[in-house]
Amino acid sequence: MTNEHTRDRFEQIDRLVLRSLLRPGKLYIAFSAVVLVCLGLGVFAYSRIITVAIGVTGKNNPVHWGALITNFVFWVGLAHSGTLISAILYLFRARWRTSINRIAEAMTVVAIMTAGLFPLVHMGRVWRAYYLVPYPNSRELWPNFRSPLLWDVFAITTYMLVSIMFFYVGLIPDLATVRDRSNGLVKKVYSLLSLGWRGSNRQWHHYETTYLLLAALATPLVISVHSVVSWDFAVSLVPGWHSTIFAPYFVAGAIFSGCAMIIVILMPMRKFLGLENLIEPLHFSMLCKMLIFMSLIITYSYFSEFFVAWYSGNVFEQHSFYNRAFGFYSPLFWVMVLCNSILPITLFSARLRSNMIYVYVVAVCVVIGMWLERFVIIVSSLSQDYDPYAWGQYWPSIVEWGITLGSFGMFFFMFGMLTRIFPVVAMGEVKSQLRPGPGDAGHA
Amino acid sequence: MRDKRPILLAVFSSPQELTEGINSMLRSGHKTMEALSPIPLPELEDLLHQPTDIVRWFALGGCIVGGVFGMALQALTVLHWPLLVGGKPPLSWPAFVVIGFEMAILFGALATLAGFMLSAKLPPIAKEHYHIGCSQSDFALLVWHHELDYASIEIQLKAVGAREVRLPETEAPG
Repeated sequence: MTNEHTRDRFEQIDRLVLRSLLRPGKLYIAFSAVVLVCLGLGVFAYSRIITVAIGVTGKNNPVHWGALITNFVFWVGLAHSGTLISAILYLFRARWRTSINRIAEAMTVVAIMTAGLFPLVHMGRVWRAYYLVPYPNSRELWPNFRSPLLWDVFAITTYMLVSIMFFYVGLIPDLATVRDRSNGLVKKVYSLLSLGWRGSNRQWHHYETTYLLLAALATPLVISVHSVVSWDFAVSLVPGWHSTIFAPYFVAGAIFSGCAMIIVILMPMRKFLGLENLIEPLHFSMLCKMLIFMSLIITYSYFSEFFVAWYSGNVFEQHSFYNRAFGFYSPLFWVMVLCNSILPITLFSARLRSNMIYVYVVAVCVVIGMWLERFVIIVSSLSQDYDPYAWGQYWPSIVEWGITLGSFGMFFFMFGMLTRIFPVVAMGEVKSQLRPGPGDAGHA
Repeated sequence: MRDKRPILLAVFSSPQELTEGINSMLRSGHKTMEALSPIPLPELEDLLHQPTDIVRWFALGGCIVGGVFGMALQALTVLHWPLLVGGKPPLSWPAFVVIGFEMAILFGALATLAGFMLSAKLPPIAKEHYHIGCSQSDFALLVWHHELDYASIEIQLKAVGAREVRLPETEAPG
């Protein structure tokens, strides 16, 4: 590549990416208005819990965990793909990740923030939330550190902070690029955010080490976080929950749903922000391959759960899984199987994988399927456990549907804001990929 | 850098030219240099003096402190008021591992970030020389030299492809 060509490519990348930071178009304003309405509905629905009581939800005895905890697990799961694409694929030197890692990281940060709200919403009396935080108090009482619910507090908080750090460190060189191409107040703000980055060999040297170390720390963290979430269930004795397979099963499910959500977000962004030259069909093809792999793991987990229930000879466990497949919630279970186990397998076909509309439909179905999976696991297990006298049914109330809609509104609103404030593609990394690297398989 | 000698800045269009420029300076005995670039250039690691990498020690130290803090927080608080919960002993070490691990990662990441900012001098305390194009598509070389050498350095660097050679801007970025 000639010198002038390198300069042109570098400048073209800057232009393409920074275009999205300019004044928002009508489409963006319309999108923001729609998601803000959803968010407003969610806030209104939540205000009912505050002003009336937790009883406005459909929760009852025995189903005391319902759509709100489903949403919590769902959003934590979505937060996992960012770290997978940014950290794990970085450690594996998968060079194709560079065009999409920033979007995945932003999604992680926003999704984990959304997830973190649900335990508070679920509590009902949110003003008592500080009871969860270990702090010296006059009663000399401390939280129960043996409880998986407290493990959640530590795991989710740690994951959120580390994700923000990882996102921010990756942004620093790009923030300097924005700083140098802006003026006035905007320049001042980006100067503060970029911390005076100059791109010196000393800074790059430490930057590379730091990014690698944060990736190495985030990788076991991401596995631990969803394992901890799974232990909220597995550590109890409820049939259908009390299983050692839960941790890997939940981690795989989290990555599965996260990859699907990345496709759901990337495809319209690529079109509307004019990023077709940076986010190519290759990226979707690779994400589809990850979807297939994760779908196979998930399908094996479904099979394994049923097999263990049958093989154990435990009547309660067997009934729990019979109820899941043929009971009141069975339509949801079979839609889940269709979305998570059957549709993704069709992506083995290269022809279908290259059909963007089909890929998008499958990704949306997987997101829905994974929400249903969490709902089916949580609700069907609680609704019929040991004692038939205590069985009961649950269906989310309009308040819970409103809060669920609001969570999507919040997620997309915050994500949209981030894409206006920060470059959506890691420009420095994409520029680096223009140079052939060791073990380069030709992906850029 | 604490070197008080005058500095010149050469701007290149590619990393290859920058590397050639550095090699040319090293051959003529100019050892104090700094490169500015929009992308990391691993090939410069062997050519330019790199400070000792302390970030990894920050990470290790943070993880150890965090892990010890996480375990100690749980152990000391349950011993302060030993309540039997769920039939488990007050010091339930296996159950404590989760929070200990999370704290190790959190403190490790915070310490890594602190180590990075310290060693990369972010934000800079004193004003440093900068070339605005280096966050976009330019590659620049700062050379500390004796005043009398300016002309010969300029000729050398232009011979290996420097687009311009001049005195650097004294402003810090931003």
